[in-house]
Amino acid sequence: MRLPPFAYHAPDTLDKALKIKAELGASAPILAGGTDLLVHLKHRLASPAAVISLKNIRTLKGIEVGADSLVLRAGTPLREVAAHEGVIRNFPLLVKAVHSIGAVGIQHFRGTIGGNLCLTPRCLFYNQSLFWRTGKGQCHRTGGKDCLALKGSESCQAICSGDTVPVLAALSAQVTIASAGGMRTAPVAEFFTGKGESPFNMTPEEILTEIRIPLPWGPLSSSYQRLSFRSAVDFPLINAAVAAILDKGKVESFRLVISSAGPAPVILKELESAIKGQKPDPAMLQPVREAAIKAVEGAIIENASASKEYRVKLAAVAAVRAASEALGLENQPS
Amino acid sequence: MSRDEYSYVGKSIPRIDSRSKVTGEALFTADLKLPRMLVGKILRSPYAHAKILDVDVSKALSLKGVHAVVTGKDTAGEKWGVFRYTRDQQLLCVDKVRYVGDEVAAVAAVDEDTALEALSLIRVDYEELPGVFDCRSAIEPGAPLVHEDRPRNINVAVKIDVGDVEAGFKRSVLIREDTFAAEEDSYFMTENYAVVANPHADGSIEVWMPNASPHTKAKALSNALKLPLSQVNVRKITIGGAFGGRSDVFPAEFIACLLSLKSDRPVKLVYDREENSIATRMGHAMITTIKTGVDPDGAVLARDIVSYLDGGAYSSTGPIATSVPYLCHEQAYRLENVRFHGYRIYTNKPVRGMIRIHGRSFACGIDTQLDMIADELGIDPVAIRLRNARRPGETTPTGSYVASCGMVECIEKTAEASNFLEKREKRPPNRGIGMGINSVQTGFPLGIRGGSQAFIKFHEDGGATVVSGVVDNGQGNDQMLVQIAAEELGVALDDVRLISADTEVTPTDAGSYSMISTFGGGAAVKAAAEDARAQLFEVASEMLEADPSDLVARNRKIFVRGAPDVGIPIAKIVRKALILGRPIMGRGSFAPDVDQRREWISNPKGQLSQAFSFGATVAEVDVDPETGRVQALEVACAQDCGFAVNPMLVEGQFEGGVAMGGQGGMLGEEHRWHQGHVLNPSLLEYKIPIIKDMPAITPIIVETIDPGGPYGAKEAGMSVAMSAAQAYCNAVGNALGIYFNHYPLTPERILDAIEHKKPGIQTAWELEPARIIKSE
Ligand SMILES: Cc1cc2nc3c(=O)[nH]c(=O)nc-3n(C[C@H](O)[C@H](O)[C@H](O)COP(=O)(O)OP(=O)(O)OC[C@H]3O[C@@H](n4cnc5c(N)ncnc54)[C@H](O)[C@@H]3O)c2cc1C
Repeated sequence: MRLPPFAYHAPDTLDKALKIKAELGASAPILAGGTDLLVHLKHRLASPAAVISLKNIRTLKGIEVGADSLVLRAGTPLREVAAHEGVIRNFPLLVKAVHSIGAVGIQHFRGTIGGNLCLTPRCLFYNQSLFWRTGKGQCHRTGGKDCLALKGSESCQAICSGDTVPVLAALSAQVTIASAGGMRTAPVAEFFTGKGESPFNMTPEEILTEIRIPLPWGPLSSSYQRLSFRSAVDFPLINAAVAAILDKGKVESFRLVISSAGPAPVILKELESAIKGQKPDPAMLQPVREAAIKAVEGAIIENASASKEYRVKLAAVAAVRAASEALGLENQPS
Repeated sequence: MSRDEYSYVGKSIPRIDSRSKVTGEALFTADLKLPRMLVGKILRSPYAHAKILDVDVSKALSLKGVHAVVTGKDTAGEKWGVFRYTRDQQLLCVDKVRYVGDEVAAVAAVDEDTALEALSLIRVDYEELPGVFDCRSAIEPGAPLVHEDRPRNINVAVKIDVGDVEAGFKRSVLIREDTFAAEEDSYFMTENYAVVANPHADGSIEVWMPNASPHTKAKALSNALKLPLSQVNVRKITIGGAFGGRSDVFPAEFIACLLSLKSDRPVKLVYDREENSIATRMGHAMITTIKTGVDPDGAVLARDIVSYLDGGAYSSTGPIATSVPYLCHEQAYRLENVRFHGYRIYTNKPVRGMIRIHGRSFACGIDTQLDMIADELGIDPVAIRLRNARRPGETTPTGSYVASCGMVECIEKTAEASNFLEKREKRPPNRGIGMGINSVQTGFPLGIRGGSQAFIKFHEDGGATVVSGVVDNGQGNDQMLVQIAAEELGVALDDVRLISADTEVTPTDAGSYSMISTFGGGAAVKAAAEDARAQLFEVASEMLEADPSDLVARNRKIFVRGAPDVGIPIAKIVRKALILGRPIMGRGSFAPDVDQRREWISNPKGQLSQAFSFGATVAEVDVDPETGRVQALEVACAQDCGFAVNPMLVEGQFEGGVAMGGQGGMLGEEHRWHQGHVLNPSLLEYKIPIIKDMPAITPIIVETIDPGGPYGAKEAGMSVAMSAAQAYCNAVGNALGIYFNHYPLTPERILDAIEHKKPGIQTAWELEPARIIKSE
């Protein structure tokens, strides 16, 4: 498959990049590792005037451990994230998530952490070639007014599929976003709009520069679970992450996030207060299962390589497994 | 001769092409570059079923850089079909399109961007028609017709009726009728289809493409282009896999030739993965209803089978594909009274052809039902298979004599290697073990008449060049031919050069489908080498003053048996022969001993193939009962391949068979649909297995030394691919106490069956049976 023609910019500073962005906006997408963007271009899901590569911007690469947080710059290669001592020590679930992304080739040679967070939401009716889409009508994302997967849907329901998304959300990470006008930060959870056609709270003039994960304030007990057909080269059918602080036998904080359901990760907020302050108990898992099903039932539609019904069941399994691993309930009957 | 006495055959020797493949030097069709070459692109139908009202190519033609545009007007509706009576695929659609991907027009331009732009400038007016997308609705009276002259969309109806089925059922103590279904599968060979056509001033045309028989392709092209066969030269090229998906002839090769003739330039047309999925071939979806009656010991007394095959838009190898699942089964199992009605039904979906696992619903249905019967009778799966397994010296229901057969040995050896009975008795929860057995043909007639021929010439330094029509599409045929030639000529492997699969130079060969390359092409090369050796012995006998029958050729020398030290170098004999005016020129041929009157539909009786291979696989799996995901732990597979010319390659075929038939074919591979659109044409979404998920495999080679095959060789790998699907299916069933009847066993289906698990011995789902279709 051919790439469409486009102008190519590879500025060596963030400022220069932001300047081009300010001028060209949506017609000049960011190329980080390109493992998602190039497929889009080949499928003619985008035919931009220009592409801005981040590869020469040194300040967008690297990982730093500060006093209270760990900072992942957006252009950091996935391999570096998974191999970083500070990440391994503090956030084993992030290592697991990165190791689940695609295959070794994607992790080692191209993919970036920023690209993973900004991965465009996926849909079986959208991530197809131009030929495939010809004759099927247009959807919210290709210039139409309807959804091919769910007729009558107000907005695009494509699936937020990044492996690291639920992990970063569970760890209450913050994103830093820059534009020619300045910088701002926002929690990862608020980075997602819930609309597939414009999935991120980021204007076309902005660039994601870093992801900041607060260091755990107590003993972190966590889990990342992802379910897919194959054990590699497969986007998650569902994924879930739990980050909990377990101190002296009590759950001091608990956050469960399910993703790969709809356009945004789903945080199971109501569980947080219910579990907080309690001793881990197998009886907690039934409410987790119920909350998971309730949360995803409205989010999942028929647009992936498995049915809605099956994905809802998987969401419950992933949530319960993540919760029981993080709470140390794995070998206890629920 | 025993294996130890051979120099090369029977030995595990790395392939002659491994180096070029590993280093990337091997050139595939898409790698070819010729001076002045143009890029070809095909415009395909975006609709599953539509009338073509008008095709306007004027804008495309006037685009700078476009050298040729072709449409149905250029082909006058010329059609392709494997058989005279199945010619139903227009090489470029004229009046109507019948599936998403059907070829409507094509362009040749200076580069890919220009060609793509030209495609976008072609205007086609369609009138969409309602389509049919599955067998059952396609045969409903009043359903839209894919081909107007085919009532109820029935493309092919095969009927076989042997013995007295009703009497057999009357004598049975137990009769079961169950229905099994399987979805479409695909090959996903590593190399996407590509074709290069190069016209010459003398009126001839050269063509390269991945193929399973260059001679079949040349013949079809010669007919369609109305060129003499000797002027259509299909060349040899490295091929990245076939699995049945390269056997047929595709419009693309015809289109590339047309474009190149029209532009008077070479044209290269390379498919992307999606085109390779939808516009070459895929496997049939299939529904099979099986009624079986047995005696108290589980011996099958009667069987009645009805199959519906979803054939897609055109016939392709329809009569063969409809028959082969049944035929494999009648070879594997002893049957006296058996009836088969097979219907291939047209739908508005991509064209279905031959695939390595012929009819998952059929093969797995037979073996699943056998396990159910065994369960009802209190017999174990091994015993019931042994009770019914084919033995050598028997004749199949449709009249094929089985000269060699190691089915019993395959069953026993896999059972033993896997510790089958003990593991089946004592297993942890959600773990299961299952067995499947099957058999495939070694060669059946298709398109090309006769068998295979070969020539051998010698060089003055004692090296030899073998000329054979056999094509290697990845399985190692080239290596096989070289090993055989070196063995017979007594030269080193490096001394043998091979020229093969080039229709201008090499003699005809049946092709590498139907599992006949070693049996047919290998035998022809062996005969040619024997002929050359006899000529060498004639000359050498004068030089050595010995009787030719006492001579031996080995280590590049010819000597009197028992006296290797006083031998004469072959190079010297070759030169002597030249001086004597008796140059060494080996000639050999092989034609299988089959019944030429046998025909797939009109006369399905008589010797089908000269030999048959047999295989058994045992798989052990763990099932995650919460997600339905299966992890295969260990697989033992055995096949009677007659004789393993290269055991390492045979084992490689077995492993590939387990991956394709079992791990992929039974656990994940299926096409999903939205009307006529394939939802998963890509490598990402079509779930072929990956190495990380593969189980440990124990390959077991069984040799029965077939009297007709070279050194006794038959076929290697396909009986494993087929039986692996059955073994995986039964293993998952055993793990959960469920008899599965809808394939493949995706996690989703498995979970559904767990949640709706029924008591007793019955299939997981109640499917509507396939019934005999009464013709009006
Ligand atoms: C075969 C295959 C399998 C895959 N499997 C998985 C999988 O299992 N799990 C998974 O999570 N992903 C998977 N991916 C998707 C992708 O490879 C990864 O998500 C990867 O991390 C994306 O990173 P990238 O740097 O290559 O992104 P890019 O392609 O460079 O970017 C992705 C998107 O984010 C935007 N973007 C990137 N960086 C920034 C930035 N700093 N600011 C603003 N916008 C930005 C781009 O414009 C683009 O729209 C797979 C891809 C392929 C081809």
